[in-house]
Amino acid sequence: MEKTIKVLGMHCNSCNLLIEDAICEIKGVEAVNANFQTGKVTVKYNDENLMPKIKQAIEKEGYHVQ
Amino acid sequence: MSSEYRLELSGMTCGACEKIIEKIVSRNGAAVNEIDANAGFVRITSEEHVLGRIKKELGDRGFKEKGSEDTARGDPERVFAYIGSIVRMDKSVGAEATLINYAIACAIISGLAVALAYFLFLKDLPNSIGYAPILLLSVFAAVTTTFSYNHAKCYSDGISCTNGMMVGMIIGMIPGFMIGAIAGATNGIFIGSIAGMLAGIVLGVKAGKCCGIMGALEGVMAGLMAGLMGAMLSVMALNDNLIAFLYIIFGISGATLFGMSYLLHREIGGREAAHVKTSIVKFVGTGLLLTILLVVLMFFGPKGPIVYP
Repeated sequence: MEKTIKVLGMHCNSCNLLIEDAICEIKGVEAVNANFQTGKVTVKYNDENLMPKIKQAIEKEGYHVQ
Repeated sequence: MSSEYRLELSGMTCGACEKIIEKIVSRNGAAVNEIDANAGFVRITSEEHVLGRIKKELGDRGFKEKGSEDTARGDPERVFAYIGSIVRMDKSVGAEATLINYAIACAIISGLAVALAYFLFLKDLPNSIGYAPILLLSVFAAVTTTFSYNHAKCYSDGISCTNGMMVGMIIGMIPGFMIGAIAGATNGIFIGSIAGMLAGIVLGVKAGKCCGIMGALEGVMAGLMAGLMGAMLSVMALNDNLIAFLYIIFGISGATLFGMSYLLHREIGGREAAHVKTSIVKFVGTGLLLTILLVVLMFFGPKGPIVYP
């Protein structure tokens, strides 16, 4: 399944990399693409219970999930 | 045995850059002792054998070690190497080479269209012979503007805030100035300023918004200033070698736009981030439309009290 999350606080390419790195470390995540220009993070994952973990990983890096 | 190393890195702009560098370093079993995005360095403690891996991983993420390039910053050899790679159409400058081909096609088609329009419809209009040298400048302005805007768009996905602001400023300023100067000369200070400001602000915002409000505002300010200046200088030089003045200024403007292209390639091109986001039809169509708008404004637009020729 694939879901797009709106994230606040991203402003450059390093923010993309940071969020992508954090989400990639979660088991069950197949692909992730962060875009600071749109403020959106698209995640492809195989377990529907992963979403809270994904949001937590983003918040841990200092960003706010809407 | 672990030792401490100080790496001077390019591409560090903010706290997120510091965090991503810290992650890369710790992932390789090393430790960050000090990191400063503003000063552009990181001090790490690492085993010697993993240092190369860390540097490579940092480089892949866009944080290249300063001084690791073949020649020093500011060395003209780098610029010549860049021009040479475009002429050879190297893979590393694929986007630039493609856009230059589009620009050549656009210049030929726009030049032919202007020549055809001039000899078929415009040459019998009042002052038409005086407009001839400015018609050439219109084609130049339209083609270089279209090229630079599309080149900046190629890199907009991976651009840092600093580079994005510079792009917003240059794209707002140079096209705004050129269009303001052309319209200022042929239509007067009012129409010239409006045309220059409008073009500069729209292009500056569109090019600069890739790095957020900072880049967009940079584009607004640059477009505002350049539009006013272009028209004003043209009107001021009406009785003092205006055409020679315009050709010199347009030459410098072209060189500045080339400088921006080089900057984009040096600062972001290493990540192979360039993707041409336009087609030849769209490119040529945009350049031609801009040329036509300038020519129509020149011949049929409202005129101020003091205009060329």
